[in-house]
Amino acid sequence: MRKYADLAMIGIKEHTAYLSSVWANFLAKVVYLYMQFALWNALFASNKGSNIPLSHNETIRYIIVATIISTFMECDVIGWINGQIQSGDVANQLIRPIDYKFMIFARHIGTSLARFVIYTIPLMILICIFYNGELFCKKQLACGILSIILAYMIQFLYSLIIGLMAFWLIVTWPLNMLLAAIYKLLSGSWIPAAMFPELLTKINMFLPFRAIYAIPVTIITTPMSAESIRESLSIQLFWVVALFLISEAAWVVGKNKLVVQGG
Amino acid sequence: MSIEVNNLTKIYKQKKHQKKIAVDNISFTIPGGEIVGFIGPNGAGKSTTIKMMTGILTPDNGSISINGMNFKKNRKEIMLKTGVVFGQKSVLCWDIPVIDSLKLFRDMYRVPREVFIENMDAFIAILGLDEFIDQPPRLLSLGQRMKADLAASLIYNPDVLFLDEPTIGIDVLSKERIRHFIKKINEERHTTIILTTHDVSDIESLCEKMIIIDKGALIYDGTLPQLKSDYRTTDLEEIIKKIYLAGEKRYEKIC
Amino acid sequence: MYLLKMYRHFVIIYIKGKLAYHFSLVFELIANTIQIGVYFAGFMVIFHNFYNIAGWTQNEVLFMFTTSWLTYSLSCFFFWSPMKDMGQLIRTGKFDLYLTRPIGPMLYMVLQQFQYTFIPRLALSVFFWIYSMSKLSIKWTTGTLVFYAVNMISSFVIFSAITVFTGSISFWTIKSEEIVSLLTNNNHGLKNYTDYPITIYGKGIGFLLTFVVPYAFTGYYPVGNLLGKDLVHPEYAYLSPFIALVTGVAAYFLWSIGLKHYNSAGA
Repeated sequence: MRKYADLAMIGIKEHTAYLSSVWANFLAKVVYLYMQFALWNALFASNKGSNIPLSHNETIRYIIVATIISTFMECDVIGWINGQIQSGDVANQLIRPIDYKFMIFARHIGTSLARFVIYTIPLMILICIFYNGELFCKKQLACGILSIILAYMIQFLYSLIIGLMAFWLIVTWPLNMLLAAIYKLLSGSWIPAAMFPELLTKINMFLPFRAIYAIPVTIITTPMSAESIRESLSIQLFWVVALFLISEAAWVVGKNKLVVQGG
Repeated sequence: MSIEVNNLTKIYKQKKHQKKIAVDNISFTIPGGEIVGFIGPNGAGKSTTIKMMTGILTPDNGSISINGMNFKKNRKEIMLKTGVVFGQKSVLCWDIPVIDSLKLFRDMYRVPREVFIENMDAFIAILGLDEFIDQPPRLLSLGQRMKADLAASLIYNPDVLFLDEPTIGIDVLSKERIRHFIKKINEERHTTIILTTHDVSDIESLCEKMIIIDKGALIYDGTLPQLKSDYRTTDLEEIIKKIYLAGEKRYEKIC
Repeated sequence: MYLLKMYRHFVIIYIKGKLAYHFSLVFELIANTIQIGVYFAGFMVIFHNFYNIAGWTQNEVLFMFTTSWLTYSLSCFFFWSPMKDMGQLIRTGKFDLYLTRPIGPMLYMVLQQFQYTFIPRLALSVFFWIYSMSKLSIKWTTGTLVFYAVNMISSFVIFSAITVFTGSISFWTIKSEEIVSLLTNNNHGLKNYTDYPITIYGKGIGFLLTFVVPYAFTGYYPVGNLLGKDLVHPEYAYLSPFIALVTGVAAYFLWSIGLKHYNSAGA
């Protein structure tokens, strides 16, 4: 356990090494959140009485919570793994007495903790000052936090799988860029998933993206029946298991490829 | 083209109102058609001086005149007549064949077609450029890359050539060829060449004249034989070591 | 003539160099197309439930921001890559090499590349620009055509000036990338604000986008005037050429001062 804690510390230090970029990143979040806030407010103000799946308040809460979550959910795992595989460093990692995936996970947690302290808490304070109103459904908060933890795991496993694709691809960034674009739209981090047209909702049913933002954010911000909460959580659980199995398979096959080719 | 440097001074402003005098009131003249070795220990102000002579930095005081022209008035004319080769920074396009870069420079410096062909023939004959001319620099060895860089900087027949550590990290045989080439260019075209290097054998085999600077000040400006007779030894490395050591001692005394 | 010839030569070499990496150029274009495509898809999704925003219909907003994106993409072909790389060029000392050429450093950097990754953005902008125009009934007269054309040119100048401005900062602080990104990044920067009518952000931001970082003159004011929208300051619609001149001159001076600073201080 000690060694993982050390790795988490490295993650924290790495992230705080560039203080100037911390400021700019935080400002970028604020700039983005304000734009979202203004945009959805204006949309609701200009379309009173229309038949919209989410209410004005729910939407505003949704985009605020989604932005807050994004401050610690975003990660560089794909980049780390791509880099280590392409540079051949992964071979050095294999001879260490630590499981590679756990090592990456520990570092990821460290980074997330750092991000939580640097971005999430200040952003939440800022929101408390400027937004008067209930952000969370208090009754569902416990389920919401559980859902965030599951979402965090899905996000990590997903990034792990995409990162391991470097075993098979020569250039990885076009795939990353493509997936990042799809992720941005389908996860619901940008537009509330409830607002999606039918076709998009149907496509999304078969993909893990909505389990990362749309599900936890909805549980936190929108009153739901106990049954739909249970259903949402089981969808997340399903994706955790499925992605875990896929990542294990990708790791085993990829590692063999590495051993056969000799790095 | 001759170069005249008068009372050249450069001061860097550092944090907390500290000033560092990088080049301190240096004057020297380089007559046209000479090869001059420009040496000094690390941090002596060598590269600052070269940067001022190539128009990258403007001096805080003093003047540089190249054939009577200066950077303020005749920047473009000077640039058309100057070649610069940095051993550590290539001017070639990394991913495309060397020949394409050379053609680019041909057009940039408006080199007439027959001059280009003539030069290319010469480069192929002396440098063996044809061995790797169709390959991109990223696939070349350091020696080949330097040869290609030299060709790129000489394709437009500059009258002045600045060579900043051209032989750094290059094997003995390639070094030999590069020196031979530099010498030949100087003899045939009377190109004025200013060479900075830490490799004593470069100087020994190329330079008639030497300029030594240390701590921003001019230590020696004269011919190589003169320097040797001053120190009563033919071992140039020994002489340079002595000069650098003396510089260190003088510095300690001041402090 | 000389510069045109050099530009052609440079661009051929640039593309040749990119093609050396097999399909990477194609992938880059595909990835960019999808990225921009998803943005348009998101825009459509947002307007799936809503009909208008601050009095602008979906197609009016689309026409406004594609107008702005058109000139933005064109400006980025020339200025985006050199200005983005300024910090790194100065850090590595490669900028010195540009100073020893018979072509000025800015011109050299602009000529020597062609940022083709903006082709998908341009192409999709043109597509949705034509689409939105076909849905709107704009009365084109000689007057409105000239007005629109002049504003396109102005907006090209404004975008270029802002890019050059941000790039020039590198002469003083080497780590300028974040400032650049905050102002010009399309996903989470201030530039993103101009995709919608600026009145939705309130007076303060409106002022910022009008007088400090004058993005509003690349779309909102001129297009709003053209579409007969109820602008708070209708007279601003005619200011674009003037703003372009001011920002252009300011960027030119900042760049010159920066260059002088670099000449005297080094890196």
